[in-house]
Amino acid sequence: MEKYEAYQPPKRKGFYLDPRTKILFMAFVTTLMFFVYENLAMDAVVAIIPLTLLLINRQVRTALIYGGLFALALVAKLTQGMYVLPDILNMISVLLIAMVIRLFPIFMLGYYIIESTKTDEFVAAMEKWHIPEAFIIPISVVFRFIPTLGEESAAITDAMRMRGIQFGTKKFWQAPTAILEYRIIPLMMSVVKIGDELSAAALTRGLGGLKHRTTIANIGFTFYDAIIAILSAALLIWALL
Amino acid sequence: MESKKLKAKDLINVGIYTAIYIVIFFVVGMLNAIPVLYPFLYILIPLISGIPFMLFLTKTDKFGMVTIMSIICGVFWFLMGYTWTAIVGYVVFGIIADLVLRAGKYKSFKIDVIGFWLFSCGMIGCQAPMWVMADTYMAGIEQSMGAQYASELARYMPSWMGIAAIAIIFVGALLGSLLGHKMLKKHFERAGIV
Amino acid sequence: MGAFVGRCVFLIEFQNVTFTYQSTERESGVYNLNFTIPDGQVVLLCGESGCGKTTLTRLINGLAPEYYDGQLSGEVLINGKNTAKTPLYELSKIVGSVFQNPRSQFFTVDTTGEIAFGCENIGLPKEEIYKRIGQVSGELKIHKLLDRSLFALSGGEKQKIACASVSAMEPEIIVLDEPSSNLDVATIADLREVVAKWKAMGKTIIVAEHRLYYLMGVADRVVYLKEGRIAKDVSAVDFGNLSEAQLQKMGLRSLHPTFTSEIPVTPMNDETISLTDFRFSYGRNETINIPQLSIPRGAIVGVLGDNGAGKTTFAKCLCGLEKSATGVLQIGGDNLNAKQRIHKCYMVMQDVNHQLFTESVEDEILLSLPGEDEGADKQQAEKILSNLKLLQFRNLHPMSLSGGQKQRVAIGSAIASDKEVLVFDEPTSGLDYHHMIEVATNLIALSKMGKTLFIITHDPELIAQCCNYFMFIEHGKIKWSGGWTADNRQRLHNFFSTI
Repeated sequence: MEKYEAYQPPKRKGFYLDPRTKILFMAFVTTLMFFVYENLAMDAVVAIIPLTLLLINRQVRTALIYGGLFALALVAKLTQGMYVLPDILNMISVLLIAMVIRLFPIFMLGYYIIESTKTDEFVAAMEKWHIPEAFIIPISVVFRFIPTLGEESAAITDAMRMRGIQFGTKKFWQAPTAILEYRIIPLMMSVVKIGDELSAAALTRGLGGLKHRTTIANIGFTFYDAIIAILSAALLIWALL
Repeated sequence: MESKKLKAKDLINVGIYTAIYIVIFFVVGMLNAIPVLYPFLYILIPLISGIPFMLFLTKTDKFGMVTIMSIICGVFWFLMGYTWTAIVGYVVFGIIADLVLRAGKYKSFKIDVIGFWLFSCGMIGCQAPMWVMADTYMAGIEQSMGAQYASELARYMPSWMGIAAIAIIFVGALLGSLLGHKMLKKHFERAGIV
Repeated sequence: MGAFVGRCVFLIEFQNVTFTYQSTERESGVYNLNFTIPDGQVVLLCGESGCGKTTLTRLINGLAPEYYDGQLSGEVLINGKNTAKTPLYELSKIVGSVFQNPRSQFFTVDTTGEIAFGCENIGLPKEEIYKRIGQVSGELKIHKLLDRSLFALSGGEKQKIACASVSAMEPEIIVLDEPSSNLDVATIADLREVVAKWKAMGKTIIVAEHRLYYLMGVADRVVYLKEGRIAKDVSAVDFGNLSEAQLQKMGLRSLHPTFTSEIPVTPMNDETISLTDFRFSYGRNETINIPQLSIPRGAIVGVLGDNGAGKTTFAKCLCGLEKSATGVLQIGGDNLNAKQRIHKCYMVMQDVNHQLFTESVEDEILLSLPGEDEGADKQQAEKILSNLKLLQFRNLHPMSLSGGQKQRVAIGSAIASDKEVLVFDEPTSGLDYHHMIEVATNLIALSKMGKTLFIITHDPELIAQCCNYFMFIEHGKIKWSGGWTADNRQRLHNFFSTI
């Protein structure tokens, strides 16, 4: 039999964070944003970190959209006293600005984590933390299934459009709640079917036999993780001062 | 005898329905941005997630599946920025819900309604900071979200809402279970899927 | 190395095996099976839909009765080990399985992780898994697919990864359940190569299939099942000597599909429909660019091309599902842009489950009717259902029907909504001979009603049965189009004889 060379995982070039760092940093930022609220400068710094991470990960479009909106909100917030808006508009703008400033850094970080981490790295991180298989298996399935739900849902949307099932048509006004049913039922039907087939395929490949699976993902702390740790410490000190 | 241990198939099912629940929560939760809609969330999320949850219960016959689902949801919302109260809410309510559901062997509709109600109460954890540390939080909200948002929030989300939320969620969960139950009968049973 | 590598004989024995499903599973059971499969044999299981061939594969890989509940009597033994009493986890080291649907059988989200998945489950060390990934990707020539997102792969590529994942566990027995159903011509050739490779490595292979031609020359033995029983068990050579007529009588697909025999060419309309300036780009590779194309109205157009050539994207543009697509469809004096086309065009999807919404077959048709006069609608629905031989199912839930019946319900809803142009995406994937003929008959009937049909297909037999016009897409452009001319016949022949 012919012999082939062993697989070499692609060499990591440049910036890379261990998934454990990402999760811990997310926890840290979430908590920080919860307790610290009078510090616009810190909000900005906290926003710049995920923004940089997004840019490093070449998610330029996401970075531009989120970063742009955040900057806009920041400018609006700083200039708030300079103009008077009608009550209702003012309320909406205050609301939107506050939401963007408070939540976008966390969203950006979440986006970065989801996009930059491969599922097997998450799984490897959980294995390192000795999280039981009873959690690791479902979490892997969640990662696997969210894109599938998107795909299935898009196909159903197409099917609904071709059948003329949508908001505003005459049929729709005859039974407005039916649209929820038409949307959810075929989706559930697909999901049940895919789930059954997925289980069968996973079982024939030995899932669930061992207490602890092995994993091929390479994770480990590097110099870059230290940077994040230092940044976190700095933010913590700043917040406590 | 059926083993009480969770099998790989059960864990995969937990993953699938957790994914659905999270997606529904996420899509409906977008309404979070408008404080007037906070109470509606307590109706809407259980109402819509009732269909998948009832379907999930047809696949459940062992203790642990609902608990694991809750814990994953809690951790997920924690990472999404809802703070540690999200974890506490989901873990506590998830375990209680699972215990109650087990009492009905996951097959009694009345107990399923109660169980689903308790499970849904986990989401109170996502808004709980409001009551746990109302003062600092409100001050924080006022600072970061603006005074108007805070007073708006306070108007629709007073502290007695914690108790009220449980009642409102009950209405949502009841409607959701009924809808889910109806859909099971109308579609899934007739299609031979459950 | 593992405990099984003493190269003992991997004998599969069926002793008086009867299995019936407990649940509402659509597969039929199997009855009184008595046979053995010796080490290293390649067995092709065939038979009409629902003959029990899938069940047989499930008995070998242990999914029945462990995962699919049912009544089992008799014993399935692998090397003297009773599969029903061996945990799936243990069995997975000896028996590998590849399934029909490439979308639902992957567990992870990236290719390399998927290949490693089985090995991780049985606890192999990382270095060993790396070695195996390298080995199988060399053997199956999938180096280019490593370290990619599974969601970005085509069906054929996903199926290759599924094969690799099984191969990496180094099982001695491999069962494949209709592995070619969702594949195109080129990937079917690749699949054949994979099976041949496994055979050369001495593995025992059991393939349940409808498509037979690609396994000729690889299979050693053919087992034909009918209603859950073995009706024929012959050598592949003897099987190859069966005439086309005999195969058709058995409900089996052709072993040598050709386009040379006399093909009934239905006379065509002089009136044409035309596509002008169809342009759409999506992502980097998927583009559609069709400056001008005329097609006889009422034709049954075979839409051909390799995976990724843009067939599905073309279909979506034609149906108006891609809002940003430019181009005008001219039909009967109307000029329709994308937004207008959605009212005139309809696609019967490959996964027809996505387009059935209601709780009964009749409601499904009624949903597409105008809804102004209930009595008239009911009458109309009845007529449509009876033409499609669905009247007896009118009160059943669409999802409780078989694949072919569901497809007819979808066709019915398209007729009800008075669509002019119908697109079918792989209408015969995974169908046996009789069901394929049934689909062809329905397509011809639709064409007689004046509908223009576009059929995306990789099924040479369906093409020979009903298509009377062709368009061949390559890189989003029309490479050639036309009817059954001698030239086109040759082109079709060349395209389908990659194997």
